[in-house]
Amino acid sequence: MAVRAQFENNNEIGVFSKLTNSYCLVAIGGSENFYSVFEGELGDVVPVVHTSIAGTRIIGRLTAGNRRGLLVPNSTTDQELQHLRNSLPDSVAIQRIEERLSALGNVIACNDYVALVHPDLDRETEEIIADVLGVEVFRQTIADNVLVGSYCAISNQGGLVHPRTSLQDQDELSSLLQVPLVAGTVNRGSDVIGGGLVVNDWTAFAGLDTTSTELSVVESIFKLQDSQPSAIVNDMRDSLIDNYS
Amino acid sequence: MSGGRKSNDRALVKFSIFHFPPALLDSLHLSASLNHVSSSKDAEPALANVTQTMASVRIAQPTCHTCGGEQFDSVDLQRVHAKSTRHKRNFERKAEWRKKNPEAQPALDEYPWMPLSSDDIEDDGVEAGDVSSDDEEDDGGLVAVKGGSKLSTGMLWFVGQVEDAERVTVYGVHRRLLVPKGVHGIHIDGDQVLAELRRLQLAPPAQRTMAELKQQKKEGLSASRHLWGFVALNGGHFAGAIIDRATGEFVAHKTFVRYTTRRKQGGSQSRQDNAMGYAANSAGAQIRRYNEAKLMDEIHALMGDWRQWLDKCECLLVRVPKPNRQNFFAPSGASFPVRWSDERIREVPVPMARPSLAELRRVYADITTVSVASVRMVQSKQEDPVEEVVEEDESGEESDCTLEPEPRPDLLAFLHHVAKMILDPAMTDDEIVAYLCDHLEQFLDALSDPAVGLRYLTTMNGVQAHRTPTLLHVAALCGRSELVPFLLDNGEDPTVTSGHPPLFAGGVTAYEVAKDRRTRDVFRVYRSEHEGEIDGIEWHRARVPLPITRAEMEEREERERQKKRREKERKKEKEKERRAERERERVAAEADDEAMERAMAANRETHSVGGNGMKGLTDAQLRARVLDMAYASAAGSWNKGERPLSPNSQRAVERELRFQAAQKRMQKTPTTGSTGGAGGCTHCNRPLHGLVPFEQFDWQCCSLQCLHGHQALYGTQQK
Repeated sequence: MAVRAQFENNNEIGVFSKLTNSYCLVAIGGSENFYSVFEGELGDVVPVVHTSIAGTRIIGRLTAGNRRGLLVPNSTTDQELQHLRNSLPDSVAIQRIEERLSALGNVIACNDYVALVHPDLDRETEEIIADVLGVEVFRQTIADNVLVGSYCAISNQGGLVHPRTSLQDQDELSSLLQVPLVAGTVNRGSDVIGGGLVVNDWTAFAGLDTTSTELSVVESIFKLQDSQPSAIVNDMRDSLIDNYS
Repeated sequence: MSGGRKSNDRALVKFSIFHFPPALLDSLHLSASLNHVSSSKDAEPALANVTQTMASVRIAQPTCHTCGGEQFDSVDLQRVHAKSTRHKRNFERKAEWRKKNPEAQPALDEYPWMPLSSDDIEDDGVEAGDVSSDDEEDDGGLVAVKGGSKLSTGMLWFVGQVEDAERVTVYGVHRRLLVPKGVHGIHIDGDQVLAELRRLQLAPPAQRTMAELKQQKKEGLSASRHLWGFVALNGGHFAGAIIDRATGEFVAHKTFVRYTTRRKQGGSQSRQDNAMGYAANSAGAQIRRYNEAKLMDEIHALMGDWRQWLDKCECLLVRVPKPNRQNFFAPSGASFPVRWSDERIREVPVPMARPSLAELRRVYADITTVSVASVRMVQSKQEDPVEEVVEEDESGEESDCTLEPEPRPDLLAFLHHVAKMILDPAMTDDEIVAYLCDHLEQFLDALSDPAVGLRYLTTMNGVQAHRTPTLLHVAALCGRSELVPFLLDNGEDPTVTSGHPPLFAGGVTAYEVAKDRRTRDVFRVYRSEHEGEIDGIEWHRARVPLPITRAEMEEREERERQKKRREKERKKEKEKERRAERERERVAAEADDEAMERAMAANRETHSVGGNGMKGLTDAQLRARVLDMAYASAAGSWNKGERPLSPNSQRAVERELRFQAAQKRMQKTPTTGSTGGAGGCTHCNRPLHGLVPFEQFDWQCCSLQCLHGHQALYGTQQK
């Protein structure tokens, strides 16, 4: 299911939340309405953690992660790190990263297998990403835009990229990611996909302005139509099997 | 393209350079033409006919749009490609193009950033420091097939048997492994290279009986070991290993890390210090300097520990940056097991990332693997199998960026010999010039050899390379003013400095180390005579000041000579004067002594010379008195009756007179002044009998009013 939500009258919910297959982070200081959307949808399946990063609420843009790990910028305080450690499952590795490009959410787009990163990212950061998130890392641009995290949203099922991504690039990227991609928008024509949409393998949250057409594109490309958390067992067996083995 | 690639896939075997199949080994010969080959480009696919399927549903296609719409057979290939050097370079090109044309919309099969094709790039498959591919670790591994693409020039390519009319399989071994450093180009001997390759081959282990094996174990395992050493040092990271090449096993290994590089500025601390000309005094700089020294110490200690292995090594692979070699191989004091001049040393011929054990393993596996490629006969048909000598080996800068060209050792030795001659004070300038004229050919050869660096002298027997990196420096430092123009005429570059980098940075040029004025003038004169020539020297970079003509120089020298002469004369005169004065003094003293002797003698005789005053005087007093008299008589001021007093007695008389006068004054004014007697008030002079006086300083007043009055008069502060 794809759900619409709004954070403090702001439609860029991707800025204020981070969703993966094993946890969800939401910014503190939001309305109860916002939290209940997430908690109602994710229920008891994954923990919904209220946190700030470096004292700010733009946690979605500052962090990057998948079901294996979470990367936070160097400016994250020790208390926040401790809080995250206490709240997230033990199987999730948390790593603080020293990187000049500190808005990790803007420069890293990843699912559980592949990460696309900003071309100027440090070598060392690249190695950490590969190690902590267990992904293969590729330096890429999306529609000639270096902020790959801002202009696309990807899950293990599919991906939504910047509307001006050329067909060739979509081909290339979808081959690299091994998921189908589609160019589209959210929030009534916004091209900042990562800002308006958070998605995992069975659910998606989009800004309140998102039209029903946009929402249906999201549902179809991310294969959310009938997926339930129980779909994990059926559809996502592959992605989980190595977790338990 | 794809057809060409597929045909390569067959009959390519994987093996390490130690295990050439014997049959193949016998058929090998070093190809003359291949080793400076520029191979086919026609095998590239026609990019124009790449068709793009336009479907509404995007079927994932493993392509690389950035690199010119390249198509891949599988996703794995695409992913490998996405990490290759070539892709990165093309990616940068594309980003740059996009920056210039933010709005441009290139058509489907148009690539306006002009992607580099695989021919343009020496694609090593995996860039230095990239993830090492795990599947090719064991026993040397396999090398990517390079059909159709350019053969790496860092390799020596051997031609095996011709498999069919079309193509021939060639085997590449890294040139540096077979040829000692310092030998390249036409000096490579094909036979010798083959012999070296044969020597590297490991015989298959002989079948042994149990008894023999036991015997061997008793004697120690090291009997049949083939050890190679591998050391790498870069940016404060050191990794070293001893490898048994028979088994590929790392017998010993060690890595160190120390903080020595300047973060975010780049370069090592010592390099920065050299470049600035003085040592930075910051805490960080000191830490780094300390760490550099410590790192070297640790390495040398380790090398000492490994001595027994290093002595046995057949070959020592080394990756040490040039500036560090001096320190690395010739530590002061300690006896290092290996010298840079050692025959066994081989530079690592492939790009290498930060030294680590994993990196050593990767590089070792890489360079001990034979590169197998098949080239088309069309290109290699002109090659003559009889011709064994490589016509021209590349060793060029652009072709093999991992290796600096090695200058010919004989040329360097010659240059050092000349430097020694210049330093030898027994040689005159003319002799050296004559010697150089005799060996002009060799000299020009040495200076114009591109492999000879801008700063070619190294520190040895008296030459301090960090001060005098060129012959011109040495000549200027020794003040060889005749030699300097000769060197400049023959192509010595005066703009080379002793700093880093060689041109126009910190450090000093030859002009600046010149010993004296004359040598400096020689530079300026040379400048005046050769300024404005085409391809002339950039004199401002040589830091030679404004030119002077030879006439001016001579005039100046003449003036200087005259000045010197005049000075000498003046000095001589002064000396003469001083001598005369001393003579006069001596004469006067003699006269004194004589007069004295006479007076003393007379005194002793009569006891009455000079009247009654003389009697009973001690010798010293007498001597003084007589001297006075002698001077007075000499000055003609001597009157009978009035005799001059000696200064001492004069002073005594004056003292006496002053004392008497003071006494008189005191007696005259007994009641006035501050020293008034105890009898009266200091202010109003009233007697103080029966009163307790008010006292201040030495005043004694009858009443408080008097005291205040006195204070008003004389102040409250005693002087």
